[in-house]
Amino acid sequence: MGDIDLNKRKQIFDDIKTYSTLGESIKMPKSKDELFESINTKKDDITGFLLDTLKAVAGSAALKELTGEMLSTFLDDAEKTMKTAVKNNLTSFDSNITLPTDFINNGVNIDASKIDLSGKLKIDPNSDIGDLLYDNTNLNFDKISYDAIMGEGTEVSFNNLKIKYDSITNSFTYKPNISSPNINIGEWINDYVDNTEFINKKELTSKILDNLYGTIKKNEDKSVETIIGDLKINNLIDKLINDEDILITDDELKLINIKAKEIKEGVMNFNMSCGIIQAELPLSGLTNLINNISGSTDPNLIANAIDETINQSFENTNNEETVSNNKTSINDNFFTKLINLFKTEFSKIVAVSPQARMLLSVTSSFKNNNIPQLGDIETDLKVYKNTIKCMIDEILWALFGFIFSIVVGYLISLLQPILKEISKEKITAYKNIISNLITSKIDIVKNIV
Amino acid sequence: MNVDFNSLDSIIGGFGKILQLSNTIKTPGVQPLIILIGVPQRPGLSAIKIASKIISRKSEAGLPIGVLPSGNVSPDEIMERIRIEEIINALQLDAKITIGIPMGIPLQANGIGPTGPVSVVGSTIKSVKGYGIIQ
Repeated sequence: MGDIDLNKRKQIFDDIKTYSTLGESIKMPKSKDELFESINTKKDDITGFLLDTLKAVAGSAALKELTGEMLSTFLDDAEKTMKTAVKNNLTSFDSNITLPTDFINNGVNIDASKIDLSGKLKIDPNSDIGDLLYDNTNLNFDKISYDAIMGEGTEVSFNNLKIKYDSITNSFTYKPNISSPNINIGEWINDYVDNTEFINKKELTSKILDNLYGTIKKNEDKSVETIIGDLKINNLIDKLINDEDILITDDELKLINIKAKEIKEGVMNFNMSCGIIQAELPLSGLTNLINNISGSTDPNLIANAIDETINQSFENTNNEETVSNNKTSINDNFFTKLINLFKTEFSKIVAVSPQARMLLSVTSSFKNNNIPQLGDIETDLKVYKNTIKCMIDEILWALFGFIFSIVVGYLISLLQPILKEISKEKITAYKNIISNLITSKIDIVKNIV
Repeated sequence: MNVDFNSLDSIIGGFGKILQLSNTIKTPGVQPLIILIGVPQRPGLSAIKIASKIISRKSEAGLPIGVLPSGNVSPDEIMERIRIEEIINALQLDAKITIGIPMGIPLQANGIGPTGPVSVVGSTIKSVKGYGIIQ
């Protein structure tokens, strides 16, 4: 991206600032361009640019509102978009061929560690942690997979799929649950996708907050190495989103190591100019938050509950004065991180969730003699880059469009009174010109008479 | 508005279009006859008149008007007059007004041809350029 594009970005902020000053109704955040990181970055960071634009138009408080909107209004409509994205990208090959006989009779066998990358499927859904990660009100792939593990050796049916777990080989076998063997690959996949659930709001929100505070991972007693593995996946997904090389650099690995240790301790460190302040969210705090916002469709309720949780997470901080003096900055930082993590976790649903891995393993087996072609996640993200990237692009198109529409809403509110003023100004100027010219004409006529 | 939300350039373009909305507000043109009769009667620009009007409106911005408590003229007001004088000088001495007259302007003319008086009714067939000054 060249200098011209960076200038265009800067122009957007300059125009907004000008209109904000003209409107007089909205106070700008400290008007320094360097506050808007996206102006100066060469990366095509769409989220960063949209969030900076939102802050420029409506101030930092809008980040909180956006978070509430994303976790309610957006997610309520996102399931359909996600299903379409998965179907579009998994039924593109061999979709007219009848399901392979081997798949129907023997199923596809795959190592459980390649399906369950985060170790979720071994957590009891009825435990305190499980209650945050599973939606126990609906039958879903993860819950049924847990049941399959518990009833090892027994086939468990879910949707048009049968799942069996073998503890000796630590592997799952997936077979189609169909009444007729003549069903084709495309029909089977579409039928599965149409009748399953991808988005579990409770799990998504819990995971986003866990990435910040490490509440769940700490209580799971995950090792630092396992946490590093989780963080590496996040890093690779972000790379995929940003169209960068699927490769973790040494510098990034150092940061991942530091973050992993914080998560292991269940703390989040904020690096303020005057020192580091710590925040903590205990399991009870996260559970309360999830219980308060679960099932809610009210963006304000969700936004306020999260805001309250942030405040509570600083209650035992080592530096109350710094927190108090930097409240706005901390909240900005927090909500920006939270929205970015939303993007990552949202993308992971179609890229690396157990259900996404199952679908990838089954579809990859169709053209490889019933042998699933899954390896380690870094390799898979490279091998299946096109398929996964296309799915992510489709669902993020919807997310970016949603954020864009919210920014546009604020922009229109900002511009409307100014446009009215400009219209009035132009009408008055026109009337004055005509009046001035006609008065001169009348004077001539008077002189003649 | 068609925006590709996976392209930062397209998103920037989308915001750009919204921010240019004010350019879509246009005023109608003034009839030529009114201009031809009205404009010659105008007094022309006066730097002193403009500066006086600006200075007299300073109070609207909460600024004091008139001489300073010391009795001296406010340097700010002197500067205002200098600024306007320079702007008006530039407009009157440096500005160049160029007008483009499109082809197809209806015309009616009388003249003398080799066979006697000729009357022509038609339209111009070339676009032409004209110059003007600001007074």
